[in-house]
Amino acid sequence: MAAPTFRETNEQILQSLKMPSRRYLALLAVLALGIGWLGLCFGLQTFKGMGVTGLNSAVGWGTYITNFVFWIGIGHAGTLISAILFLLRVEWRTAVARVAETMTVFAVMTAGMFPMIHLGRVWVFYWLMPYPNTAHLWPNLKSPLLSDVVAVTTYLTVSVLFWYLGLIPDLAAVRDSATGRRKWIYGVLSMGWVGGNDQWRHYARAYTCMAALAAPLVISVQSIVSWDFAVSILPGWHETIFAPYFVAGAIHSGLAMVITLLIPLRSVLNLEKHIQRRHFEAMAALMVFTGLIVLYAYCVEPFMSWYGGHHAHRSLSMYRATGAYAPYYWMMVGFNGVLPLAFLWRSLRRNWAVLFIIGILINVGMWLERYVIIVTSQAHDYLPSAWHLYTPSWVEISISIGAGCFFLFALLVALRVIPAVALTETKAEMVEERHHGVAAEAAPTGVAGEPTEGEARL
Amino acid sequence: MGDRPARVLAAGQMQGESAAHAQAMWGGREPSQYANQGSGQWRALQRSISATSLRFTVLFVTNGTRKCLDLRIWRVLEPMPDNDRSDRDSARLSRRGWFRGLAGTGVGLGLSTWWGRKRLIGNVSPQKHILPGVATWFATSCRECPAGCGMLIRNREGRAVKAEGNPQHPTNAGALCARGQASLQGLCDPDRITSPEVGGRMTAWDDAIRQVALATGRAKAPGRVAVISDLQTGSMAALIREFLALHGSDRYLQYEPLNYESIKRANDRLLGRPVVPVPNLNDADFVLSLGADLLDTWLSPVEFTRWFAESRPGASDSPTRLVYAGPRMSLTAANADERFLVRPGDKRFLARSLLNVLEGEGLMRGTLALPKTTLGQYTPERVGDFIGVAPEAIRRLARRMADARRPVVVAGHPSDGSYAAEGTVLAANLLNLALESRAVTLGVTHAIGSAATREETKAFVDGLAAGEVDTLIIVGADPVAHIPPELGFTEALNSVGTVICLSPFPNETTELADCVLPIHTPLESWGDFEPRAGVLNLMQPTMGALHDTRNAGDLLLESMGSDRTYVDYVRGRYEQRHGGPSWAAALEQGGVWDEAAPYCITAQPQPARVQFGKLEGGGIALHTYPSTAMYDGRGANRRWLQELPDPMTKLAWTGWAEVSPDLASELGISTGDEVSVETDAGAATMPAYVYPGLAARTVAVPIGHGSRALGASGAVTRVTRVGDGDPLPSSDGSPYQHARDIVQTVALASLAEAKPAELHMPLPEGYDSPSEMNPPHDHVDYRWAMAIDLAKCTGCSACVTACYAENNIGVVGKELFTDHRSMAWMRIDRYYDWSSEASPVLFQPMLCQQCDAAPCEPVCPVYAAAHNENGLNMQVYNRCVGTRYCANNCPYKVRRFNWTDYEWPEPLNLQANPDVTVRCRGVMEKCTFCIQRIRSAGMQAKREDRKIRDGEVIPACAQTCPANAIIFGNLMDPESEVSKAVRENPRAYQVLHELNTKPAVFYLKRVVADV
Repeated sequence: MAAPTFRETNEQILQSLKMPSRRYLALLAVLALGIGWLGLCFGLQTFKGMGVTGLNSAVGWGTYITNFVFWIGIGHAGTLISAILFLLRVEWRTAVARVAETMTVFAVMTAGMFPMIHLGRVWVFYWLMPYPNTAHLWPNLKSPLLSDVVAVTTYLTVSVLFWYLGLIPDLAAVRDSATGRRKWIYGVLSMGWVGGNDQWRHYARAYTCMAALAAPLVISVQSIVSWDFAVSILPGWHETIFAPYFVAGAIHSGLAMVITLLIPLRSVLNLEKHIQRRHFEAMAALMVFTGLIVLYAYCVEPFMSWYGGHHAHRSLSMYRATGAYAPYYWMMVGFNGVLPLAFLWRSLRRNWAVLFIIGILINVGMWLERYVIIVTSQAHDYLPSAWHLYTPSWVEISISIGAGCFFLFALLVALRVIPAVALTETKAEMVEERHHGVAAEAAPTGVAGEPTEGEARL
Repeated sequence: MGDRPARVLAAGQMQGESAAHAQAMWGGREPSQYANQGSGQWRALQRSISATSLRFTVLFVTNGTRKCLDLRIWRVLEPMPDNDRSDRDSARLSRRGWFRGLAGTGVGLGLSTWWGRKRLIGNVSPQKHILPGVATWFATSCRECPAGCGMLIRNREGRAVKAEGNPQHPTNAGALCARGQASLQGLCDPDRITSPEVGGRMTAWDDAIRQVALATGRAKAPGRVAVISDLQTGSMAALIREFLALHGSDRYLQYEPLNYESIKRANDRLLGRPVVPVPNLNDADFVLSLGADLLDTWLSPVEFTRWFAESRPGASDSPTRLVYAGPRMSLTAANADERFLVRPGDKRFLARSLLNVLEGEGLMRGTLALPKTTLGQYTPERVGDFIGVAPEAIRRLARRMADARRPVVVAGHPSDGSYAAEGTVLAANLLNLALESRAVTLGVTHAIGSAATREETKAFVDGLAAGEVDTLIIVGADPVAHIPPELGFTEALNSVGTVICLSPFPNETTELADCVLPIHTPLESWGDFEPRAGVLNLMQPTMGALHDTRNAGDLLLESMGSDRTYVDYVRGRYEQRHGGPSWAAALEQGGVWDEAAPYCITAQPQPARVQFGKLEGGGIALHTYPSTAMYDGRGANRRWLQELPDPMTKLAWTGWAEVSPDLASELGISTGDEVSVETDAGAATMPAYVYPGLAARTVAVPIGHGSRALGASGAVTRVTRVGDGDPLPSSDGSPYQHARDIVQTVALASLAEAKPAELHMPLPEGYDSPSEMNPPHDHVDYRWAMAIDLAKCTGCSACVTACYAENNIGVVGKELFTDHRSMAWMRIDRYYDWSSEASPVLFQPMLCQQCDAAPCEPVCPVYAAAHNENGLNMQVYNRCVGTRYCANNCPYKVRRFNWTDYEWPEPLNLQANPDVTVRCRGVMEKCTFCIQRIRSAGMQAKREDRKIRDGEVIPACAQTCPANAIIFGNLMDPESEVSKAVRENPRAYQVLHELNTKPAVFYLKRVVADV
């Protein structure tokens, strides 16, 4: 079977930019309703006060901060895949990089909402920013919350720039085939890209530089977020393992989210030819690695609290495993630490259903991980007289779901207006393959499982 | 702002001058006029404080965010009287103009128009005695219970804003309990009656008085007018009797639901004197309480708490041991050195058994002829087996009492007038006689003895029911609610011609009255109260009348056709009876008290009149007790008291039924279940609290939480679980310490050689650079610190309410309280250790520890939590954005977040402290050691060019502590009380010191003493 031409590839990938189906639009409408509901609930919370949440004098951070950490974690896979794997010249990243990057941008935006949503006086949120003012007040640079502000805004900026930089040649490709107003819009967005040699040279260098800039942020952002907890003195928060633990967890959850989203998306967007089983297999293999790190952290935590010897820390470890939140704790251990080990088997790595279900469960597990860490430590700290439980209120649940709607809405809209697979890189790979005479996945038939049509044509 | 309550004399002087004027002010002039004016000034001031707090926000206000700001206080403003335009404080006015300009652009024109018309200080010549920003103190008497503590009311800009104890008063010596602190909320009760009502319709005073005169005039024959009042002494009682005499009647019922009838009857039987004595415990070295909750609510709890604290082992040179026997782990039981939990009726058996041992072992002093024949059956073995106490323990207790230099036995249930309760008091008195502590026990008589017994009440009610009364006047009492239903008072009212009710508050009696006349609350009234022989409290208005109400005395005098006012009457009586200090001087002082009052009632005991019955009892026993917050229920409409967690159960905003664990497991009841408790008198449904601190098969129900239907203590016919119930409004986290050594104890025996705990001083000397993250703090002149003596603290929780009153703390209501959103800056942590014999319950006041290395400070992103130059952890409310990180990181969990905007139903807003801002939603707040008091003292010191003296600043909690357990002062001054307590007392320790937070609140370990 002949390899697809550039034109065919172009068409295959750009067909996702056509007017979506009614079902797609209906889904968008439902998501938009979810976002509207978020707005109403947030309005209620702003005007009534934080009392509409389930928080109390013992547990001051709950679902909102859980969501913040969770979405920041989701935002890690994109940069990991696009920047780190790019620098490492990992071949399989091309197919999933664009979706992952787009996901990153919107996940970080979703995450960024929550520090504001959880503020008691959101109308003065800008006091967290360093800006010159008549009162000569400056934010407290010692506070991990300020580091958060810096880290998250930096990460968002770099992610957006990196994402956009990679998009420029693709947008130009869209422009070339577009007509009317679309042509004008894509024309502006593609910033005069004509594909000249100089442009390609600059582009390649800039892309590599941006990748090099973004790569350390993958490590730093989640480390800094973890210091929100590690810098405090609460048992279960005050732990030096937090930075690597959180980074691994973030990548873990990010990969799981990419898998969960891409499995339906590749068929919705008709990209089966480009986003293939082997890509998922690679991600699943990577998740075995991150899952093992997370599992290690789960084992080290109780050990260190026992070894450290402080009664409050020991008591907290016991509480996590046996107290009111124990079901969540064990779900977290099972879903994040044990379940990914299933991917040690190749057949499971290649099974769509297993990939999808484990992907979802890891997402649930990773959300619960943050919830368990955040809530149990506050609910069971130093003075027993002040121990109280926390359950999220309907407002918090609504806002959390609304935030998920925002993320999906933004992602689904974006994937209809930008190429969902990086065109230029795909083509570059095709060129490379031709040069080396390598037919990608030379003997897919030799592998367990029937090759799909897309794979066969390759 | 120099208004320290410690300077009572100064306050007195200010007020001595005022005494004459006060009469002019309240006696002569129309009070409401005055009240309005004060209100305007007060509100203007409050607004100005709020305005300052908005300095940052105002700049950025737009119409869109307008609602985000706390504008509520402003909105309640009614138009000010258009005062003469004063430019007295032009600097302020110009700044105000600037504000207005800004507000005009942003907030909107509507807001700025009314803002523009206001004056911070209204009058060119302000009222005499009303200096804006300077408090005036008025001495009066607390009328929240019969104890009659002396009280000083702080008046700012015409508003009574804080109640404190009168330091000169012999009963309370400056302290107040939680109910005393909350008396202000009676004055500002939003539900007060504001206008006379006749036949259910509001009417004018003239009309109402005419109708009353008609009704009293209608009495067909002499003797057909009757009066019911609450406990009244002195002038009011005399006036009522005069009034009745005028109508040829002597039908006067003084009804108190807690009348200590058992004591009165027992003393009548044994001594022929129906009196309630105040036991003199001052020189006792051993006290056995048979169910008398001395430290909770019993007779004079503030006084007894002070006695208890001063006589604690380790704190006193002549220490006392307190042993308690009763059905319930009350505050008194928890603080006692040893306690026996015996069922409600069984205390008398224990006492008789003790008598039996004293008699049998020849340990009696003197010659008391005991009824030996019946006493013989009370051997320790038999009794011990019956009541569940080891016989050896009874013997040991009896010998210990015999060994004591001056043992005292106190007994007497406040509301239970049953045979069993009387028997307990009789046995206690016999013990006292046997140990020759009679003179001690029968101290000076208490006024409560004049309250009617059940029998007298019954006779009175029967008279009503028989149609012998045409006009019934009820003054201040709520007999419909309080007289036991089986006496048929409510039905008897039908046979009465006209029922006239004089009451400040609506209650069940005003519901049924034909005519309701609103009267002043005690804090607005002239009057006197004589709680015991030798103590005469004078009462004066502490602010202008809030509503169009009258003094009950004035009404009576008017109806008698007298042209005297009640204040003349009180004064006349005072001057007639006392040759001592002048009226003005006495008023200034708060009354007159005779230190040398006789502490002895001589009467020949007649033990022969005492008969001991059989050992009997069974079934489920009911124990009712007045709760520390509600007392007999009169605190029920006071939000501070509703929000005050019960010291033992930590429940608030609800009534409850404590169920003993054996009963609970038998009936399948667990804490939080809805249970129905039935007695012969009636049934009540309430949430259950399974309480290990109860004797076997006992149910305990606090009085004053809607449990009235159950009647007094006695037998329960049935307890049934009726449902799951709502979540309990409890402030409790875990009731156990989990071996964390948070409340520490030390045995008295090992106190002498006890090693001082390792302390991390919140001073440069405590700075240990390798282990510190932050640079050391340099304190200028003062490092404020506190020492709390856990040996003295009884857990009474007065400090909690005082803190609410002083710091304008929001009352969150039942729902938010249930969700653990209470705003209390100070709480009493209560830990159980049921396995401990010596201290099964421990208390610990917990408030901001003002750490030197405060975990809250570095985590705040906007410096809202910051350290000041005197070591305080400041919380800058108007900088706080509400991340709540500080609260998470506080190991003591003492920071409180404003989850919403809290309600201040009018006129409760008037009683807020103008020195403290009201915080808006979304802001973190916490204890500041009453920084407004520190600042005030600091300014005074600066004016006088000196340093603040030790003891000059007393935070509200320390001020009101009946046990004097809280010492506050400057840790940098080696001579200060707190320095000495911390550095020289081996009992000093810091909670969670291992976290190296270096708290400035030190605790002194509780001393556990063997009996």
